[in-house]
Amino acid sequence: MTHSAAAVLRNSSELDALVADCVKQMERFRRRQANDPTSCLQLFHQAILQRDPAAWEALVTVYQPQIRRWIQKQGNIADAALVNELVQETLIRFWRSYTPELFVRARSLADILRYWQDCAHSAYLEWQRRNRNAPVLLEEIENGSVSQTASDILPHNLVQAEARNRLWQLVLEQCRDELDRLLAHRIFVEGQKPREVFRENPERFESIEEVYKRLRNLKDRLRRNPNLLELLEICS
Amino acid sequence: MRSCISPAEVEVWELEAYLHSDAPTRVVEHLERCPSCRAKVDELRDLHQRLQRALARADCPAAETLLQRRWNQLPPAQARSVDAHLAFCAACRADYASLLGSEPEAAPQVLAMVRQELSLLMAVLQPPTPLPALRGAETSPAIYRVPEKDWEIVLTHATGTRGYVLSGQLLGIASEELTGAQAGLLADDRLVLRTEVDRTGWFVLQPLPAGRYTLWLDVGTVHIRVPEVVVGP
Repeated sequence: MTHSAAAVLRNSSELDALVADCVKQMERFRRRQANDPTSCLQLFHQAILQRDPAAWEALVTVYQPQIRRWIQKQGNIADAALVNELVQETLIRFWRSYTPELFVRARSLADILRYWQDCAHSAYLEWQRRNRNAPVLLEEIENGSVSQTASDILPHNLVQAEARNRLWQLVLEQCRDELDRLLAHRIFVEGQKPREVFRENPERFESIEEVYKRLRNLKDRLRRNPNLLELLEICS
Repeated sequence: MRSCISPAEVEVWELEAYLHSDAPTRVVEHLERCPSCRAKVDELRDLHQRLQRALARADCPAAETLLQRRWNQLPPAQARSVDAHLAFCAACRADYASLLGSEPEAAPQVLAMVRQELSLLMAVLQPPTPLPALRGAETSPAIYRVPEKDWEIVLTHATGTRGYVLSGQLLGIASEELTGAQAGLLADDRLVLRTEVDRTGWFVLQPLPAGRYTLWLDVGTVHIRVPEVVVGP
């Protein structure tokens, strides 16, 4: 993307003026009124191409409320601390992954914001993945929101990560064929129920009975493995 | 440990079915009476839950990697590895599809493309190639070749919550050429669904009833038809 307003900022008042105009233009954008994204694009130019921390901070100030809305819209998340953590995670992802090459390729401000929104979505997906098996209190289910903070579920230290890899390898070693591997992946990694696996793979399994027999046999082999309990302990 | 009160009533695998609330009444009634089998089910449940907790998405690429794949930011080898995983893992396909579907509040303006000298190409199904372990998915990907172009189309279908999901990717084409590309499905020559092809060549068509379709892809001035695409069991 080439921008006519891509000159290097000379002082902080110039930056302040850009921020003020960008906020104004974004507000007009949200109200579906005519707007001029030049000031916002110049902030992005300065932050992404020049790696200017002041411009980045300014972008965070301008766009944080929008990121917060994206996060809240994703998953009916009521807990402010969790939203804050996911917003921070979104900011880190954008700063880490949005390269000058992408900026140059972007066709419009909306293209850049789309990437930022995808960062918010990927932060939410990651949280959702790790949250899959975490217990949810009954009252939280009843009022339709989830109140766990990301710090309850995010940390996975290196030892645990290594043990998890070893455990998965151990499960694969105990699989007798490709169907066992498919079943193990669907059940343990993806969290499906045996009935779902059968419904989605009717041409691969002869019957639901075969699915249950295979699962039972796999678990029996796993239980007999002397390393299983130790790895499960480390992972828990 | 006490032994089962009546081993002839229940087969071993049926305890696994009971664990997943999928056992016949005969088994449920047996479990109500048999402490030994109940203890076995508790043991099975404990192992099942611990394995699921420990292995949740254990070999899946991080959501950030899917984001980078979606924006064509990965080195070719890593992109291929992610594609292979996507072909196998229904959960990651769902995550990826949700990334493709996350529209900003105002979509970028797309210039209407004037298509002149439209050329029609019929894609041809290639002989199936053996897939390595942990690939293959619930439906093996069907690979089509586009004559006169060095392009391939990889198609897989899976069961979604509201019907079938047909996902595909155009390979061997530069991302710039994909600007404005569209994919659609015809049934009895009527348009059933249409979607944009993203800049990595991915497209997802859903929800779909089972059936035979003609897939069309509109890429710049090239119009591709893939006949006899079977979706469903």
